[in-house]
Amino acid sequence: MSSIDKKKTSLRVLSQAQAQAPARAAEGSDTQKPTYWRSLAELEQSPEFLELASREFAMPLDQEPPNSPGRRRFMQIMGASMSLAGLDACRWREDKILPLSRRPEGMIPGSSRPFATAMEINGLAVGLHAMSYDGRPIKIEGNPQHPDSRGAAAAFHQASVLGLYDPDRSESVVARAGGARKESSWAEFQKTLSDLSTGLRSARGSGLCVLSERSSSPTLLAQKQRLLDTYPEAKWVTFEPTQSDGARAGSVLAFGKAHRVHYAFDAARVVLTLDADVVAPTFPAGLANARALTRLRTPERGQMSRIYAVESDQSLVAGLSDHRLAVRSSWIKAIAAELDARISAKVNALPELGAPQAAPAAAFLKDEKVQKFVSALLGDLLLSPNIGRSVIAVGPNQPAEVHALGYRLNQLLGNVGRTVFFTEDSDAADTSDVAALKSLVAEMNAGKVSTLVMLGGNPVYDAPADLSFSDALGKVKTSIHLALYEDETSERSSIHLPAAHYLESWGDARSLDGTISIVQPLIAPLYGGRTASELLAMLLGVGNPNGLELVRRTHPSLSAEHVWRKTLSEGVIAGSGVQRVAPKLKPLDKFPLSDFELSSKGVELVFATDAKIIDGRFANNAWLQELPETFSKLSWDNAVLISPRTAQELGVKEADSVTLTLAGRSVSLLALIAPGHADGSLKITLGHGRKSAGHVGGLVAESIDPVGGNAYAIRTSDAYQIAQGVGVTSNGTVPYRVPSTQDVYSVGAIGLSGTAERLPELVREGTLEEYKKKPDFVEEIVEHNPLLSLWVPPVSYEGHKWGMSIDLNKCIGCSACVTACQAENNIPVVGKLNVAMGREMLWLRVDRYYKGPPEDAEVAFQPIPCQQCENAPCEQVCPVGATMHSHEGLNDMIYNRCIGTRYCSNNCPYKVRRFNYFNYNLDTIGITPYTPTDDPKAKVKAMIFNPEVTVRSRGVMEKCTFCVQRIQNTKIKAKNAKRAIPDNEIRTACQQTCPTDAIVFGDLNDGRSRVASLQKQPRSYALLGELNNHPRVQYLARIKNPNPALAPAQEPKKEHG
Amino acid sequence: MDLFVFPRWANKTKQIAGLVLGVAPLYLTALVWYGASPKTTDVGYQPKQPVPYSHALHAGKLGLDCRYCHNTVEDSSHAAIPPSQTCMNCHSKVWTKSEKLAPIRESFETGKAVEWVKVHDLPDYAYFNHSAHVTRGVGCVTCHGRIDQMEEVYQHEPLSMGWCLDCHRNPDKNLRPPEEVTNMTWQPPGDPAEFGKMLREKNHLAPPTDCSTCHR
Repeated sequence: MSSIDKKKTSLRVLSQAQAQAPARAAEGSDTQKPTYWRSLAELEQSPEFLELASREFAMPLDQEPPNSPGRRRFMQIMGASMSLAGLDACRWREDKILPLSRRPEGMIPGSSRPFATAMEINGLAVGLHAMSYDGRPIKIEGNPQHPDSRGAAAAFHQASVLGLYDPDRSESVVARAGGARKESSWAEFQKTLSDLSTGLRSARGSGLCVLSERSSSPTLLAQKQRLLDTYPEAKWVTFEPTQSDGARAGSVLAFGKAHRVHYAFDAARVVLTLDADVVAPTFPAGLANARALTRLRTPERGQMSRIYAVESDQSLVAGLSDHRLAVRSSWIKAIAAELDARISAKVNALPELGAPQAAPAAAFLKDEKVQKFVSALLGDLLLSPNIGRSVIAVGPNQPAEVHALGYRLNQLLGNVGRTVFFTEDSDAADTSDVAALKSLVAEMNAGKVSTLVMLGGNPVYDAPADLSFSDALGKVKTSIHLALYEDETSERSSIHLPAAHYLESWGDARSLDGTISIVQPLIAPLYGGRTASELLAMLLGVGNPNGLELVRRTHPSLSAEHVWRKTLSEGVIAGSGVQRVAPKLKPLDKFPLSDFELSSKGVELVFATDAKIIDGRFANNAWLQELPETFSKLSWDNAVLISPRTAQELGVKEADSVTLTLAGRSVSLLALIAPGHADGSLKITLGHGRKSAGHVGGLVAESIDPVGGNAYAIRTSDAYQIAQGVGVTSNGTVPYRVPSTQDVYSVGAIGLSGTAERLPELVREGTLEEYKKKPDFVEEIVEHNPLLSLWVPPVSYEGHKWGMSIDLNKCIGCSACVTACQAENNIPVVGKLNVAMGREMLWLRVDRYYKGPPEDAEVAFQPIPCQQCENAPCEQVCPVGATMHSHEGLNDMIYNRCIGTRYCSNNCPYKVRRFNYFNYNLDTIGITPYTPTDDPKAKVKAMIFNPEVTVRSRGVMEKCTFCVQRIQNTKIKAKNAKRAIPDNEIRTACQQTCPTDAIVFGDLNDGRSRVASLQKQPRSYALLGELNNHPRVQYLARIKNPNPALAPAQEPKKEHG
Repeated sequence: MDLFVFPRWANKTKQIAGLVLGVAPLYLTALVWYGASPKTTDVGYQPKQPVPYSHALHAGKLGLDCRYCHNTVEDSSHAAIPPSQTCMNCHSKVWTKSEKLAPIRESFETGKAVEWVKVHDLPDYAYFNHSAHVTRGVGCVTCHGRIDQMEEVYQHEPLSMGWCLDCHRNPDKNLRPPEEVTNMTWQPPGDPAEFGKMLREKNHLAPPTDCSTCHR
C-alpha cells in the first residue's frame, strides 16, 4: 500500500453514487447547463476553422516563410544588429568590472531596491514601486501604500519601463521650418524662448496658449496660476482624448458643482454597472475597485455580493457579474430613466429631490428579457437589507444625464455616505475638453494664437477629426511640442522638445481621492528630456530649472529633510486626500430621449479607450502590442467588434476587413465577431493606426505599417463617445492571418466535442446555493479511477513545498500578470507574424472561455502558468535532463542543457511550454550575453533585462519557473539572517501585480500559509488532476450568486446520489 | 614492373593503420578532454589589470581583511570590487604621486570607472551567490586560493560545475566557523572532515544540488 497515494485514493474511491453522476456535458447539453466554448469559429465549425485546424502548422504554406521579408522587417524594425561572437580563444570573451568611482552609502552592487514613484494618466496617479538594479529601473510594482494601487499595477504600468529604454524616443531638440528638419539643442531653445518671452511679456501674454494634457500635479497647477498671473492674456487649455465629460457634467446637473464620485465596493451587496467597467485599470481607481469588488466574491464568507452589468461590450466586470444585459450604449439612458421611474415610485423620494423621469416608451424595454432583468434587479436593489448597501456605477462613455441619474439613484437608495462618496473636484474645468479644444482651434484659425506650447499630448493624431487640428497648427507662428517621441504633432510643430519619461522625472500627482504622490526619478534623463514643469519654469524665466526644487517648493510642509525622505520612501503624502463631502442633490429636469436612444434603427459606434495602449501613447511599446487582448485574444492589431446577429445583418464575416464611414470620413480595419456583444452596437478602441509612433507602432516615413486602424480618423467632436449613422461595408477577408492566440492548438470537430466535454472539468463552477449545499461539489465533476502510482514518490518534499492557488472567482482577465511575467522573466517579443503562427512566448496565458448562446455569452477566465507537476510528464521525456525535479517540487528548466527536441512540450497536458524558434532576443534587442555589440541603441535596449534571469537563445524551451530567482534570493537572504521565511515574503511576479489578489503563492508545508489553507478549501481543484500528475497549482472554482428570479427554467436533472 | 609491386614494408600498413585508427580516437579524446577542461583552460588565468594591484602586499603583508574592500560579500551575490574611493582612503595619504596609481586618481577625480578585468568569470547562466557561501562558513581561500600570496590575481580552481557539485555533495572538508572565512591560514582542529561534519550539523547546512540552485 505504500506505493499508493493514500490520501488521494481515499478521496477518489468510486462510490456507487459518484459513478452514477456523470456530469458529462457533451452527452447532453440539453439536460445540463450550457457548456463553455473557446471561439465562435470553433463553435460553428466554420470551413475556415476546420481548414486551419486540419493543418499541421498554423501558417499556410502559401504565406511567407519565417525568413521572408516579413520576418526580416520585424528584425530590422526592432533595430537588430547582428554580430557574431568570434572564436578568438577557447575562453569566452574578457569581461570587465566597472565599479562606481564613489559608491553611495547603502548601495549594494548587484541587488535591486524599490523606490516609490507614481505614474499619471488622464490626471490620475497610481503609486508605484520601481525596482532599481544597479541604478537602472527594470521592474514596476504597485505601491501598497497608495490608495489607488494597494500594491497592484496594470499591464501598462508594468510595460512603461520598456518605454523608458525605447530607442525611438527623441534624443534632441528639433526645429522645423518650411519642412526642413534641423537638430537643435536646449541652449538654442533657451535663446529662442527668451526672445519669445520678451515679446510675450510686453503683449501681456496675448497670443500665448498652453495646451496641456490632463494633470493633477500640484506643482504644475501652481505654475499654471503663476503663468496666468505673468501673462494675463494667455490661455490654458486642457485636452485629453480619452477624457469623457459625462461624470463632471452629470455632477453639475445633479449638484450644481463638479464632484468626483468614489465607490466602496467592499461594502456593497448589490452592484449595478451601467456601461461601466469599474474594475478596468483605465477606469478611475480601477485597480482599487477591482480589489474591493472581489473582496465580497469569496463564498467562504457565506455571503457574496451580486453584480449586475448592463453594457454594450464585454467588459472586465462582465467576467465577475452574476447577470449581464447586453444592450446598446445609447439605450442605457432609457434604462436609467426606467430605473429612476420605478425606484422613485417605490422609495417615496423626498419632495426636494424632485419628480422622477417618466418611464420611457421604448420598445426594447418591453422585451421580455429586459423586463425580467430590470424587475429582478429592482427586487434586489429594493430589498430592505440592501438599502444603503448597493452601488450604481455609470461608465465614462455615458452622457451627463445618465451620470446625474446614477447619482440620484444612489441617493434614493440610501447609498450616498455608505457605499458611494463624493469629493469636490476643485480643479475641474467649466467645459469639456473637446469644447475647450474646439474654441482653441477657432482662435488658431483666426490667427489669434501666435505661440502654442503643447505639454505632451498628440493632438494632431488624436484631436477630433472635424477640427482639423493639423491645419490650424500650421497657422500658429511658433508651436512648441514637448513629447517623448517625435510624433505626428512634433512633425507639424516648429519646435519639438524631448520630454523626460516619468521614471526620469521629479514631479507630483494626485490619486482619485486627492492623495498626493511624489514622482521620483530612478535614472537621469537618458536623452536629456525635460518635464512639463521644467518647461513651464523656463517659460516663466528660470534659466535652468531644477525639477526637484520645483516640487519641493510646492510642498513647504515637507521641507524638513527627514519628512521629505520619509515621504519619498513611502511615495504618498499621508492625509493629503480631499475631504469627503455630502453634496445636495437638485431636482433633475426630465431629459428628452432621442429617437435613436429609444429605437433599434441603425447601428451605433462606441469609441473606447484601449485597455493596452490607452489613447495611443503606448503604441510603440512592444510588450503591450503583443499582449493578447482580454476577450478577442488579439495582439498587434485592433478590431471593430460586432455582435453575431448584427454581423449577419451587415454582411460582415469574422476577420473581414471593413470600412467604417461616419460623416464622410472613413477608416478600414479588421472586424471581429464578439460573443456577448450587444446587437446594433459596434465598438472600436482608440490609439491604433499611428503613422509616426516608432519602429514598433508604425512609422510610415520608413515604410513601417501602422498597427491597426485609427479610430480618431472618424471621431468627431459632436459624435465623441457614441456615434450614430455609421456605415459599414465589408471588403472581404483581411489579407493576413489574424494575430490572435484564440484558436491556437484547436483540433477541429473532435476538438469541439472534446472541448465541450472537458471544459466543465477545467473551469469548474457552481452557484452559491450549490456551494452551500455541498461545498466540495467540484470533486464530483470529474470521475476517474483511483489514482495509483507505480513507484514510491522519489522526493519527500521536506523543507519547502511551493504551491499556488488561483481563484477563478476573482480573476477579471485584465492580463496585468502576463506583462508582469514578461518583465520579470526576460520573455522576448516575437512580433505579429510569429504570434499569428502560434509561436507566442508568453509564459503565463489567460484562457478565456465563453458559455451559452453566442449572442448572450457568459465569459470565464483561467490563468495558466506552468502547473509544476509533482509527477511531471515533461520531465520523463527529456533526453538530456534539461527539465528536472527539484527537492522543493519545482520543475526546473535548465536552458543551457536544452537541445530543443520539444518532446517536453508535446507531453505537457497544459501546453505551457514555449519554444524559441528564433533568437528573438537578438532580433528585438540586438544583443544577448553571447553576442556582444557596440550598437549604442542595442545597449540601451538591453538595460531592460532582469539580470537575475537567464536570457534564452534560439532552440531552447522555456516556461514558468514560479519566479525561481525570487525564491532563491529570498531563501539565501533569510538563511544569511538565520530566520525563517514568513508567508507572503516570496511573491511571484504575477501574484504581486494582481489587482484582485486572485493568485496566491507560498509554501504548502507551512500549515499557516495562505496557499496551504486555500488549497484545502473544498472548492479547490487541480486542473487535469485525474492524470495523476499532481500539479502544484490549484484553482478555486467559480461560484456565482445568481438571482433566483433570473435562474434559467429548471431543467430535469439526473438524479444525484 | 617493380614500379607496380608494393614494397615489402607495405605488408605492415595494416598493422600501422590499425594502430593509428585504434589509438588516435583515444588520443584525440584525451587531448580534448584534458585540453578543453576548465582545469587546463581556466586555472591559472591571469589577465593583466589596469592597475597592478598586489593582493600579496595589501592582504598578505599589510594584513587588510578581505572585507575592507569587498564589503558586500556577506550581503550580496557579488563580492563587489571596491570603488576608487576605497583606494583613496589610504592613497590620498600614501604613494600620492605613484605612477601606477594614476588610473585610480583619475577615476576618483572624473567619476569614471577603473576597468578591472574579471578573473573569476562564471557563465552567465550560472548564478553564484557569495553571501550564501561566506555566511555558511566556506572560506575565501577555498575557491580563490592563497590570494594573500598573489602579486596579481589568477584563477586557482577550475570553477566548473563538477567542481561546484563535489563540494555541494560533500561539503564537510571545506567548512569552517563563519568568523574564520577570511583567514587564509586557518586550519581545522583535528580531522577536517570530522570538524566540518560538526559545523554542518550545528549550522544546519544542507547544500542543495537542484538545478535551480544555480540555473534560472
